[in-house]
Amino acid sequence: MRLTGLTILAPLVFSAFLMGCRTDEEPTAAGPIEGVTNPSVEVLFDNTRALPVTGTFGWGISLLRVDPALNVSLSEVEERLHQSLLSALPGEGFVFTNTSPDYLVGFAVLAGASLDEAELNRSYGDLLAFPARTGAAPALNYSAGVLIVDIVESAHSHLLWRGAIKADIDMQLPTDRKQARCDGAIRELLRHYPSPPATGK
Amino acid sequence: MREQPTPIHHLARSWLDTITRTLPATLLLAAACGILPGCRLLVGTTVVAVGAVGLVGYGVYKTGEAAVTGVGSAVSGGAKGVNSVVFCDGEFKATCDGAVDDVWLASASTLKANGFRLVSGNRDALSGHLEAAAWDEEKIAVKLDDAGQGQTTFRMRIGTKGNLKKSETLYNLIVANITRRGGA
Repeated sequence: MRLTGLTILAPLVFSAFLMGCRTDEEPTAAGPIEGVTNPSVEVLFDNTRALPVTGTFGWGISLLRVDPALNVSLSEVEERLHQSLLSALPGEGFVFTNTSPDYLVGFAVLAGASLDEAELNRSYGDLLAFPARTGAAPALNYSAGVLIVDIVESAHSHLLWRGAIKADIDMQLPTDRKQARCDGAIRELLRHYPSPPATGK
Repeated sequence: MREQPTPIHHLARSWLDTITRTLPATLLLAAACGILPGCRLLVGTTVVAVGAVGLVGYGVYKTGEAAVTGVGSAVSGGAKGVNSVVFCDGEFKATCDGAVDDVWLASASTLKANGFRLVSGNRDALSGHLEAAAWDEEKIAVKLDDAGQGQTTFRMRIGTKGNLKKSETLYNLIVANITRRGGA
């Protein structure tokens, strides 16, 4: 009889220890993106709630930091990324609006440059209230070819999700293919929103 | 009376043995996850980190740990030497080399030389402002603030909503005209 009691109790204890700990499947490897090689993705996400899958969005900051030797028009980069986001975000349930959006979508682009987390957060001014870091864990640093996309809850200036894709960028890519590159990078990042993609997504 | 073991008993005993053997590892895993309530445990070789980012309420994960050499790797650390601008809510913001006075003079002369009408402007050693108008009366507002270390924070708004393309063009013209006193 004692054995029967333990048999029932053990799985319950086992399950209780694992309460609140979800196991996700391994994200699939990044698909090919034109003009981009060696991509890796880093995602910071609000762990306390389900991320939104519907609502309106408007533009947050555009931070563009580019080595002048690359001779890149920053406004053209911004235009391409806005276009990519306008195409991709409706697929995640978001609708663009110019007035009082639920969420602000901002981005940072680094090419031949670096940026630390604190500077990125400061760039938002009052639009982002980022929590102070605790403990010994280092702040995130971004360098080389990086695209960072932030989703911020407007009402509370609260960062919900920050996805960064870093990669080698082919700067010789013809201009007419650069939009496809932006589209591919945004698509790859948003594969991880609101949660990592399951195998085969 | 002694109870006869049944196949169910054998199965239960085997299960219990397995749990007993794996319990220490299970407890460790559970304790690690318990540090951040609700953490997501990602399995797979490409995902490296879970949770502990020193930010209460946030988790982090990475995929594809490929080494990134990037482009222009000679440039590193901070805004100096790179074109770095922030465009937010219609305002163009950048930090440029030169004191407030140098940047103010370059701004005024560039705007005037390119056909903009100067409306107002003033400056001191720490800050300055300029207001100009295009031929169609579109307003151009420039604000300057000392950023220390011989640099100036440059803010520009064109019209009410702002325009990154026009701001970038004007900014590049202004920066090309900055003459730093002291021969720098």
